[in-house]
Amino acid sequence: MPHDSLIKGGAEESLLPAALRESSEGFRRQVREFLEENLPADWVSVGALDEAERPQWMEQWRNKLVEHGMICVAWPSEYGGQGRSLADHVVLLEEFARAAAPTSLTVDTLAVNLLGPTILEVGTEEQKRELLPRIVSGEDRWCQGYSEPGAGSDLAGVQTTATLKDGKWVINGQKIWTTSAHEADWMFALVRTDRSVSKHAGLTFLLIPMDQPGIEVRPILDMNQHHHLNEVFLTDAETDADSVLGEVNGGWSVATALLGYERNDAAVRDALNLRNELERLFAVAEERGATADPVIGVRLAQAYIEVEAIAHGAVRGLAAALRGQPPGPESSVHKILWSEYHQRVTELALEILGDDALTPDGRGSATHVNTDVTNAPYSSRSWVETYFAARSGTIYAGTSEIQRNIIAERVLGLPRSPRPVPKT
Amino acid sequence: MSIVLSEEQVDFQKTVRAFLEAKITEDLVRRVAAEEVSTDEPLWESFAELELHGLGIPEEHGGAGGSWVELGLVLEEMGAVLVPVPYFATTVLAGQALAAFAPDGQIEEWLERIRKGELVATLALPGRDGWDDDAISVSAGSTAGAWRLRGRLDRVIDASSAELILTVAGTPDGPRLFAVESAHDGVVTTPRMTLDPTRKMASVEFSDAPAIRLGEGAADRKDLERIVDLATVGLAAEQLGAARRCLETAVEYAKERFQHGQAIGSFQAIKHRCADIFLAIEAARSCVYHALALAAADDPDLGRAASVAKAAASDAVNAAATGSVQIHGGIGFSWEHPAHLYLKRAKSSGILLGTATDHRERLSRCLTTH
Repeated sequence: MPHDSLIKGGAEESLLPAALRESSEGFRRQVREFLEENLPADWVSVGALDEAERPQWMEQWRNKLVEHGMICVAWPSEYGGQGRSLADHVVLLEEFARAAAPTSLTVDTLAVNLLGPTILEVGTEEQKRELLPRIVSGEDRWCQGYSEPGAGSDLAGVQTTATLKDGKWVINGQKIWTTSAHEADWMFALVRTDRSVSKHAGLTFLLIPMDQPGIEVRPILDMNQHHHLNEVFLTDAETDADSVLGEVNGGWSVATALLGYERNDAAVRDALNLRNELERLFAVAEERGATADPVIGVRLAQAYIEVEAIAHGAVRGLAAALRGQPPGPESSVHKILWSEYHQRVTELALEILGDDALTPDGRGSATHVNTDVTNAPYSSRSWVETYFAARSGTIYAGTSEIQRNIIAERVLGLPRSPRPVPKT
Repeated sequence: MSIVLSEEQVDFQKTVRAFLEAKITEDLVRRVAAEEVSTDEPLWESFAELELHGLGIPEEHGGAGGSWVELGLVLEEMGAVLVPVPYFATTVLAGQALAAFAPDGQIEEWLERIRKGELVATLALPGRDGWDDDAISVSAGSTAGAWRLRGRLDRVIDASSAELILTVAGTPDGPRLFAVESAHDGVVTTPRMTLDPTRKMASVEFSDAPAIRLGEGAADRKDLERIVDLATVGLAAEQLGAARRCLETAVEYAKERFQHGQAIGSFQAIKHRCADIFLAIEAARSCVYHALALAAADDPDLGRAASVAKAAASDAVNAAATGSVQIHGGIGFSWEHPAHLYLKRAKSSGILLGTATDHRERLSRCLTTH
């Protein structure tokens, strides 16, 4: 009973502001019908599927989403979307979360959530018509070529170069920590196209096909021994001269605009995932009698408070987006709140598991980062893997330290930290 | 319900902020803080310009209308400037308590006088044991339908300036809420030294003080709990404002104070502490605004949201007030600088109506079967 009431977060069952909830009711019914008709009758969760059958099930599920127009719904219809509102998109996220249905594949995450909206914002008409429908259909899978061995937090310091030669960009260098590069057809990458100007001014946002001799992908295993990260070596790799998003040497502003898209729906998605995970943890704690310990009770209550703050913060961000306000530094607030919370709550989970955490067994987590999937059945191995996976949350997509700098400088207006003058 | 502020509400908050910042100087706060009784007549009367006295009290009960969202925004701004008049006691504590009971002629008259700024009133808040029978220190007896109170209240906010004191007292039927006019012979209020000089408290001694019982019947206990939940949300909103001001002050100082040839705000140790305070405030803001929306909608889940808001806002204002002292360095420890006034306010509001830990325990009881 107690964890059942957790998800509602008060009387409101939807994160949407009341005024918008009504206008999306028709679509909500449509989404519910789709889920009822298309999920198996005894559906529990992707996490309950046999690990061997999971990839195939996911591919088939994705095809159904495409067939019924249940993916990228807020993209304009001329580019493969459904031309729906952001509110409708949130309704879809909520209903899918309620039914424990996945909204996309891991390999889609970047293209669907980040690259697509950026193309919509800065892409040429031709790029929109060509690239977006193929993201929707799943024909093109994308990975993100940002980090390099020498450019992590100092992202603008990337050294991979691209030079125009005979109407083609020729690219040389190395990318690292590239999620899903081994499954991707394309990479969107930040590369250096002008060495004669300041480091932010000489970057270009290039779109590079992965299937070519000049690209070699090598796996990196994470601390769970999972393979989702890669190194990508580019040796005279090529792409067309017009495969540039935004302006040549204008890549930095494209990359930063892209980071802003983390805000709108990612925060809602995270809040829904974290609520579901905390419900599952409350259930585990109850089953083991751990809630009889007042210290554990208070720590669970604190976790609940933090998830409430994240969920209601997501609503505030969503409202700003719905009013047409451009994404601001609040994505840094959200990023720190959820990623640091997630480390604390998974630590608490291992304490609740106690000795069982020492010998993890059962199925593994169905994800590589963040929470396990919605309604994932209990297994000690899933919680242990999620604990380790949570370590990455404060590192990827801007470390907690970088996010704090952003808050301090761009929100609070504190002076920039002194940076050493680069050696020339 | 929506925690998203409308444009009118955002404008209203700006108006209130500008109004209070123009009227309330540090000198005024310090002058009132140094006295035993907290009030400043011209300031108190000026609240009528924005119809603040009766805010959040329904018009049909003699109030000025406006929802709990508007009231919360006003409290946030009042927290930011440490308002040195008994607004929280009168409008939030007593006003909401009176309005919660089907107001009859007498109650409506009091509410009307509150709206006009003519009546200062207060409510004795429960301690950490709530209004359990054992924790109630005042008893009520009636002869021929006339109630009289006996007993002592250790600390009541702004009781020295209040003409009307509301308190829970034990009756043979359980705890009930009573109203006492402090001018009666049977009422003695004694100002007490307070940890927080900007939040006055007095002890109140009742010796057969004539009292009026508010409300009838068995639903009273639930009404009392709701009044406490509302007060808790109101206090959390006030904490949010105080926290915001502490951070603003610390950030301004960090931009101006130079050491090692640089503004100390350019050092990451300072930046990250400021960012952490900002994070705590933003988290609290989301929780407080949500709770305000539930209060405005008369939602039955208010209790849980109130505990979430109070725990988050107490943590935020504590981080902000202690952080502000630290970032200000030596001057932050001085009497001359206002940082200590905010630290004292952070401490008093962190303890009043339950500490963050108390609220986490309460949530734990709501959310688990133990």
